[in-house]
Amino acid sequence: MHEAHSDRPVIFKVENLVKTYSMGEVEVRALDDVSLTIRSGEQLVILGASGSGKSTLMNILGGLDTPTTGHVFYRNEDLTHANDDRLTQFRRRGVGFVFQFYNIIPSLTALENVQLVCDIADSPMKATDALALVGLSDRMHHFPSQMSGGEQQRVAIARAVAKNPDVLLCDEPTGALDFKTGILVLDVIEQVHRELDTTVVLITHNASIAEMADRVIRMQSGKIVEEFEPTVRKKPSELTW
Amino acid sequence: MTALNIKLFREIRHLRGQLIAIILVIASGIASFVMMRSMYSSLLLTLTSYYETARFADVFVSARRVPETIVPQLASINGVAAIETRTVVDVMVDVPGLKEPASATVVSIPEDRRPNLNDLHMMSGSWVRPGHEHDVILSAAFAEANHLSQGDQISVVINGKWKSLLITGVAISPEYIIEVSPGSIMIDNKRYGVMWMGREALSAAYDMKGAFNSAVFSLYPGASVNSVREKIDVILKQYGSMGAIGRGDQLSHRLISDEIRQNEVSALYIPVIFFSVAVFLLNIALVRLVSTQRMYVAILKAFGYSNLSIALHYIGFAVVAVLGGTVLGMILGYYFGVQMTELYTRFYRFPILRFTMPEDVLVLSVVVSLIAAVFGASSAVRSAVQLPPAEAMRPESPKAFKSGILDRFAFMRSVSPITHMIIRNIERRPVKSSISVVMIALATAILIVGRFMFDAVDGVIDTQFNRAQRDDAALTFRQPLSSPAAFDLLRLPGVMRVECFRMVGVDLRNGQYVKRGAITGLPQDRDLRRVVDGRNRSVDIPAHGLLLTSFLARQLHARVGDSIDVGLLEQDRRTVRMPITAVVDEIMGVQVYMRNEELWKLVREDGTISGAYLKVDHSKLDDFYARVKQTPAIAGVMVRETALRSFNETYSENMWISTTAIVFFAVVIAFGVVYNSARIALSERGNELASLRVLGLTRGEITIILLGEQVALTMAGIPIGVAIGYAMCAWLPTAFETDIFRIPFSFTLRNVGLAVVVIFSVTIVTGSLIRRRLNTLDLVAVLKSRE
Ligand SMILES: Nc1ncnc2c1ncn2[C@@H]1O[C@H](COP(=O)(O)OP(=O)(O)O)[C@@H](O)[C@H]1O
Ligand SMILES: [Mg+2]
Repeated sequence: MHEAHSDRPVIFKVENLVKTYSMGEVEVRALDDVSLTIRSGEQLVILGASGSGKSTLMNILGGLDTPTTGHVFYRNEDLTHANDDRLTQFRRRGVGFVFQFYNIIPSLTALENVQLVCDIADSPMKATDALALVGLSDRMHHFPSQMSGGEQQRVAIARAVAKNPDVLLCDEPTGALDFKTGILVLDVIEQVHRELDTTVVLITHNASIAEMADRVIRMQSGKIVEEFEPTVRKKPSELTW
Repeated sequence: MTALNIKLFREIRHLRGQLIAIILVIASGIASFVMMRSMYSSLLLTLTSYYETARFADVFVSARRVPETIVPQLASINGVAAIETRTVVDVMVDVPGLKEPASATVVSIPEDRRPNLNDLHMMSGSWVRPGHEHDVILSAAFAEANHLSQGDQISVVINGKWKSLLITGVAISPEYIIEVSPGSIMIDNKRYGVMWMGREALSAAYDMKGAFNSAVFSLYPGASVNSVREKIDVILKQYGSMGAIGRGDQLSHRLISDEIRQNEVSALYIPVIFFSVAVFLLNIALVRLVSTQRMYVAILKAFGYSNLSIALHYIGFAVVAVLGGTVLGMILGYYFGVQMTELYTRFYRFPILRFTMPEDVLVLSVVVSLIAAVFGASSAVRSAVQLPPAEAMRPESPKAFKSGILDRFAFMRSVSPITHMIIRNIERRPVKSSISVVMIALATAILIVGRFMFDAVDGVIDTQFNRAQRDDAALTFRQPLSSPAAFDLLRLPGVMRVECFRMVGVDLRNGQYVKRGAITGLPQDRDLRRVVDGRNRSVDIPAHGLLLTSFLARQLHARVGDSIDVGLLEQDRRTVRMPITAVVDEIMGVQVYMRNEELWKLVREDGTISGAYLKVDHSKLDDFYARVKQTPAIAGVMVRETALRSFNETYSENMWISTTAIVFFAVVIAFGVVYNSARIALSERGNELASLRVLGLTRGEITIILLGEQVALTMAGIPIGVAIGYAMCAWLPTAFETDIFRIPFSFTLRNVGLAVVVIFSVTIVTGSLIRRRLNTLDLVAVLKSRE
C-alpha cells in the first residue's frame, strides 16, 4: 500500500527538527533531529513511549508550536517562521485535531459544537452530516454533560472532520477511554480516512493500534528510531490489547 | 510563617488584578464614609462649640420699632435667659474698586461691651470705639472678597446720606456663618456682606434712640421655643413684629444644618452602595478560587487540617483585600476631607474649622470592612468546608449546561454558536448575571443623577436669569414711592425701559396652615419680569385674585378656587379673604403675584412702587452705577450680569470637583464588576478558549466569546440604569424643594450620553486589559491536562 501513496502529493515535510525546552538549568530535547515526509491520503501512526516526543512533533505539525531549529513545510509553504495569524488560518482550514481530552465546549450542544467549526471553515460539510458520519445523529441536541466519554470523543472527531481538513491529527484519541469505546472511536477514524480520503496522523503509545496503519513511525527520546509498514493491515475491530 | 499562610500570599499575588479592583471599591466606600462622616462630626462639633462660645441665640425677631421699655416684659417671658436688642438695617455700599453698588446688612453692637448674644469673633483689628460714629467692623467674607482690611475706608448710605466709614476690624458672627443676601438664591460675597456699627451711631441715624427693631433671645435648657415665640409675638404685635423665629428658620443656621445633614445622610447610603459591590466581588472571586483549588482543599483536609483553619485561610484572603482597601480609603478620605474643608471654609466662616477623623469613625470603618469580608467570603468558605475530601480529589465534572429560556424562541436556532455560548453562560448563573446587571445599572444611575444636580442648578439659572428676569438691573427703594418716581428712573443714564413693581409683606392663612411671604404686584403689560412655569412658558397674572406658586399652594393645602386669608403686614394691617385664581409651577418657592392695580386697591394706595426693573444700555452702565450710588431713595440694586458671573465663578469649581468624584465612583464600580467577572470567566473558560484557538478561531473571535458576556451585561445594565436615573431625577426635585427655590426636573440626552459613554468605555478598556491575557494563552498546555 505504501507504493499506492508514494506518488501522492506531499502534505508535510519536516527537516532536522529540534525542539528543546529549558527547565531552569536543565535542557530537555523533546525532538532531536527529526526528518519526516507525510503524503496525502496515508494513515500514519506515530508510536512511542510516554515522553518520547510524539505530541511535540504533532503540535509542531499542527501549527500549535514552533521548532527550535529545523524546518516544517506544509505543502510548499514554510510554516517554520509563520506568524500567529498565518498559523491560525492554517489550523482553521488545513488541519483537524482530536485529543485525548475531548475539549468540546460545555455550553454548546453536539450540533452547535460542530457548527462552530463549520461557521469559520472554507468549504465545510453540513454539521448534521458530520455527526451522522460518527453515528451521533440521534444525540445532536445533547450537551456534553449529557454524553458519555466515547460520545464526546466522537463529537470531537465530527468537529475535526466537518471542515473537510487536509489532515486529521489525533493525539492519543483513545487514551481516556475504555477498550470497547476506544475501538469504536478508532473505527470512526478509520471510516473517515476511508470515506473522505483524509490523511490521518494518529499518535499512540499502544503498539496494537499501530496495526491499523499504512505506515508506522516509532519514536524514542526525541528521535525516529524505526519506520515500517505493517505486513497485515488490520481493521480496528480486529485489534486487541 | 506557616505553609498555609505562604500559600495565601502566593495566591494573593496571582489574583492581584481582582484584588486591586476589590481594594478600589472598598477604598471608595471607606473614603466616602470617612470623609463625609468625619466632615459631619467636624462640622457639628465646630458648630456646637462655636455657638456656645459666641452665645448664639435661640430665638430671633424683627419689628418696625419697639421702645426699649418693653425689654423687661420680654425678659420676663418664662424660659428666656438673655436678650440682646439691636438695630438692623439694609444699606447700599460703595466698595472701593467696585463699579456697581454693593449692599450690606448693618447690625448694631454695643460700643462699650460685647453683645450678650451672637458675639463676634474678631479676626483682626479692634472693636468700634464709643463716640466714633464712623467706626465699622466688616464681615470676613465681605472684607476678603473685596480686599479690605482694618484702616481702609468704605462708603455706606446711612439713612439717605453717604457716609465714609473707617474699618476698625474684621470679624465673623455665628448669625452669619454663611452670608446670603435676603431674597437671593446665591452667594456673592463681593456684592453683599454684613457689617457691625455702634448702637449709638446707628440708632441716631435711623431714629431708633431708645428703641430697637431686632431682638435675639437665648433660652434656658429645656424651655419651649414655640411657647416663647408665641409670647414674644403677643407682646410685639403692635410694634410691627414680623413674627419670632427659632434657630431652625434662621437662614445661616438652616443652610449649614442642611449641609451637615446632607453629609450625615450621604455618609450612610454611598458607602452602602460600595460595600454591596465589594461583597459581591469578593464573593465571586472567592467562590472561583475555592473551585479551582478543590484538590488542594481535599489534600489539606486529608493531611488533617481542620475545617476551621481552611475557613480562616479563605477569610484571610478577604480580610487582606478589605484591610488594604480600608487603609487606602482612610488615606484618600483624609486627603479629600482636607480638600473639602478648604472648600467649606470659603463659604462657611468659623473661628476655626479643622478636618479631624474621629476614632469611632475609623474603628467603625474597620469593623464594617471586616463584616463585609466575612460576608463576601461566606459562601466560598461554606463550599470549601463542605467539600468531602474524596470527592474533591476528582476533577470537577464538565459544567452542566442545558437549554435556557431563550432557546425556546425560534430566533435562537438561527444565531451563531458563539452567540449561544455567550447567552448560555449568562443564563447558567442567573443570580450572578443579574447582580452584575444591577451593579452596572447603579454605576450608570450614579452618573446620571450626579450630573442631574448640576443640570438642575443650570436649569434654575437659565429659567431665572434668562426667561423670568430679563432686566439688566433691579432697584429697590428704601420706602415705597409714588409712581411719578418711575419717570425719574427713566432719566438715569442708559435706562431704556422701566417696569415698576409693588411688594407688600403678608401672612397667608388657610385654616391651620400659615405662611409668611410677600405679594408682588406687576403691571399687565410687562417684558422685563415674567412669571414662568415649569416648561419655561410665560404665564399671565389673572385680572383678579392671587397667583400662587404651586409650592406655596401645596404648603397652604389650597387649590385654585379656594379663598385664603391675607394678613397685610403694612398700612392698616387688615386681614382680607381673597381667592386663588391661578397656580404656577414656578421655580421660586414662595411667591404670590397680583396685578399692580389690584394690589394698590388692596393696600388702599394710588400707584405706589417698591422698586423697578430696568433695561440699561450696557455701554452706559458705569454712569448708571455712579448715579444710582448718588440716589438716596434707592436702597439696593441687583445687577443681573454680575450676579450671574459671580455665581458661575463660585460654582464651576465646586461642580468640577463633584463631577470628578462622581465619575470616579461610577468608574470604580463598573471597573470592579467588569474586571472581576471577565477575569473569572477567563479563569473558568481559559481551557475552552485555548481549545477554540486550536480549532482555528482567531484571537478576535475568542475575545468576542469572552468579553461578549460582559458587553451584553453592560448593555442590559445601561438602560436599567437610565431608567433608575430617570426615576431619581423625577423624585429628587420634590425631595429638595425649599421656600427659596425648587429644582426643575431635567433629563438631558447629554447626561444620558455621558453616562453611556463612560460606562461603555470602562467596559471596553477593562475588557482590553483582560484581552491581553488571551494573547498569552498556552495552546499546548491545555491539551495536556484537564482543568
Ligand atoms: N512545555 C514543556 N516544557 C518542558 N518540557 C516539556 C514540555 N513539553 C514537553 N516536554 C518534555 O518533552 C518531552 C517530550 O514530550 P511529549 O512530546 O509530550 O511526549 P509524548 O507525547 O511522546 O508523551 C518530555 O520529556 C516532556 O517532559
Ligand atoms: Mg503525548
